[in-house]
Amino acid sequence: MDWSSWWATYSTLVLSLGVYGLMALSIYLTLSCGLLSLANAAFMGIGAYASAIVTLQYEGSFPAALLLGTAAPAAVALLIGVPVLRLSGVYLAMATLGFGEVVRVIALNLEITGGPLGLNGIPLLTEWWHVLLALVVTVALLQALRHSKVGRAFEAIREDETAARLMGIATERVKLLAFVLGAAIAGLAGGLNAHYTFTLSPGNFGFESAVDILTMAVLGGIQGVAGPLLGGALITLLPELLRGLQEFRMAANGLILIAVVLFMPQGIWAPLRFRRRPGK
Amino acid sequence: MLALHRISHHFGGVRALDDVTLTVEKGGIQGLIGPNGAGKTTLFNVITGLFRPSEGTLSFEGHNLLQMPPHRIATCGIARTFQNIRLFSEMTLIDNVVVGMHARLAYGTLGWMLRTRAFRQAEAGARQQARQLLERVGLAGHDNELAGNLSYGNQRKLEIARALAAEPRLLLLDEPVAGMNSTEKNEIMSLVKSLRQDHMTVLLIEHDMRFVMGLCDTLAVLNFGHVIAQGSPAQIQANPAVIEAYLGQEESA
Amino acid sequence: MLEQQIVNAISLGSVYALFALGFTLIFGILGVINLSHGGIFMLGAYAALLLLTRVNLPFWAALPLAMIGAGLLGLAIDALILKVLRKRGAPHLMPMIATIGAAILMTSLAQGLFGSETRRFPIDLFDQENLTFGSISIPLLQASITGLSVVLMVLMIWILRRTRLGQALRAIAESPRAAALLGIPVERLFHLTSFVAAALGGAAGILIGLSFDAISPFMGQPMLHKGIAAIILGGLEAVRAAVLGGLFLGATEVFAVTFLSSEYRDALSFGLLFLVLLWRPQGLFGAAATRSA
Repeated sequence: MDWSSWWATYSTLVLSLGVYGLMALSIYLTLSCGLLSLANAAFMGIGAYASAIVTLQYEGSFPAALLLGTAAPAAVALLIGVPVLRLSGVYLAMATLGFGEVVRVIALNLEITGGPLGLNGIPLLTEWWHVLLALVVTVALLQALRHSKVGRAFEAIREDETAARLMGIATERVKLLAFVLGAAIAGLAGGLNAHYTFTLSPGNFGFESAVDILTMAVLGGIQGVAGPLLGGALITLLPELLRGLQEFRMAANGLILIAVVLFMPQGIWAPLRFRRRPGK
Repeated sequence: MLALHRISHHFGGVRALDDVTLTVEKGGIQGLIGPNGAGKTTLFNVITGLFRPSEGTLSFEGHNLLQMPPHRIATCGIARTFQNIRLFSEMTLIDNVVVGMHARLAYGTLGWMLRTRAFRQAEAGARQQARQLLERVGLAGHDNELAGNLSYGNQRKLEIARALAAEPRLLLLDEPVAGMNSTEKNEIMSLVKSLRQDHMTVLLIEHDMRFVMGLCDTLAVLNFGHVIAQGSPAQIQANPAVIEAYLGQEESA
Repeated sequence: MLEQQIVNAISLGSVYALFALGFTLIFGILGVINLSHGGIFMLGAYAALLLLTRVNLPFWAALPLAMIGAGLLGLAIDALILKVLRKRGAPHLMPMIATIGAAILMTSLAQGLFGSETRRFPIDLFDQENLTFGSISIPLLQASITGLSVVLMVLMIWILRRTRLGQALRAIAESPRAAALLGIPVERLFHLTSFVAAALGGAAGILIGLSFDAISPFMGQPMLHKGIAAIILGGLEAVRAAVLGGLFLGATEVFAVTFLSSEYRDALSFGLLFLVLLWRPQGLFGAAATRSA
């Protein structure tokens, strides 16, 4: 098989690997700050719709579309973050799941989002290097963040929010930053996604994708940026890998999730595992 | 420098603090003693903003602490340790200490995003200072171990280093030598004494009487949420109300 | 006309409330978002269908047996998955992922065993009679559905409020560790809660199957969304709040269809949900502002 026909067959899969890598990084960011937020799929949806509306209905340029696709979910995150981040743990998970449903139902009912049919004929503008560039920039940003006072504040909040606050960390603001930044990354992923899939529909960003994205982070592990990238790749490839199982594919998928949680709780990429007890 | 005036705080129907008036003078080491459940840790939680008292006023160097969220109180110059150790156990020792400097690291968002010179200098300086603090509390050479792997006594030392990292003017120590052996207790005692040279004021809760009497300039005694006595160690030891409060409590205290 | 709609609202709302009640029991007492509750709901309906059509049991016997079956399934999930995670002190997201795995497994198995097409309960289960109260007439089926869910809910709330068992369960909801220190057999009550919650979920599945005259492997997922909506609307803490949330959601849906149009049904209820999230993330009827379970 020559290159161009290989690309014709697999380009969507390759681009999806990158886009879901971004999504896994976005949820990794919020999880690393201790926020069990399941709103990232919804933020991806907002980004996808916002950017597709720019190119499809206003004939805007692709950079402008991606910019709006990144900014719109960040703005929404800022708006809902203040009240919702007062909740923590499972309560936050529940509220953000509810928010995801709200977004899905709104997309289902608005005219500008095409209602239940969604948007069709979105121009195919996403090139492989756009996705790669977005990934590289995001990874660089997250690495810089990890090794700064902000990244340490994230980690401190995840471990003990009260102690973090008494160390002079403005925990509310830091958590809001994680939430908004996570939303922006998810929105960028959504904007890129919309411009190679041709169509968008409200169901693409609902409950199932919220859980899929969470699974990527958990499967890969959240002790660094490598884990979520690995998890994102595995979950994206899993349907391809399990294709031989045909109708039992979904059953196998379910079993894999249970097995990972029970037997590999740190995820696949867990460097700290080897640092547990360094010769005490 | 710290003034509590008629502070009361209750949980449900229980008055944990009842009409507490207390001042901490600048530069001294003041002890806070009393039987278990007397309200000592509650008082620390009120000072650091974790609890909002039901009544009373609280000021620190002229600032009204009751209107500040906990992280602002911390940046005002008050740092603390915890009775039930609250380290970031999956972080390294050095990172724990650097977290304590959070508010003092002044580089902005662009600083860390672009890893500017100011950013790199601030980070390098912070790590340097953190290493010195670890050395000062006797934890040199363990910089990159995880805090959760330390022994109990060493965890208490790390908590002190983390609190000192904020360069507070008032340091609150909640049972700093609980669970330590006598060698470690002596180390902590000389460490706290050495804080005088840094012009730091210390308020500490401790049950170990030898430690308290040997270290503190003044003492306040709390019982059932009341301040029952204040004075020098000698005065406190001779105070009948204090003896009364501790009578029969010796075993458990 | 309005009276009729109120009856419909109560009827739909009470089944939502029944589903939400099981969901919130697990949430409150085990501190777990059990995303397999929709799967249990769906399999409960299939269990009743099999008992009615293959074993030819009468409805009054099939209902409790199917509930027990659903309960055992819930117990299995607790014993095989949740218990392991509890023992390990796993973070909150772990049980969520494991139970979504279980839900996917259940849907897939139901598809394999029963096929993807929509099935129906036998039509002769209930007489086509109406109960009439003045100007309101209620089909016997609807009255029975409402009656059954109300009886089950009242029973549950009575147990939680008025019995020693309920007192123990509330202590666990407050703090499992403190409850264990008081000598409450926490693990056993976790199992019991899982059993009862799943049995209620199964009952809700049967009643929804009857009320919409449709059973399918995919009926669990949308119901799970409604359960989440009901407990956010109601409040994240209390059983009472979940019941009120369920009724409220049912009422919103019925009145949206009546006075606006059916397209706005979900939009209105989730719009309300959004406002609640912004304005009172702890729920309309919830008490505590924040809690980290």
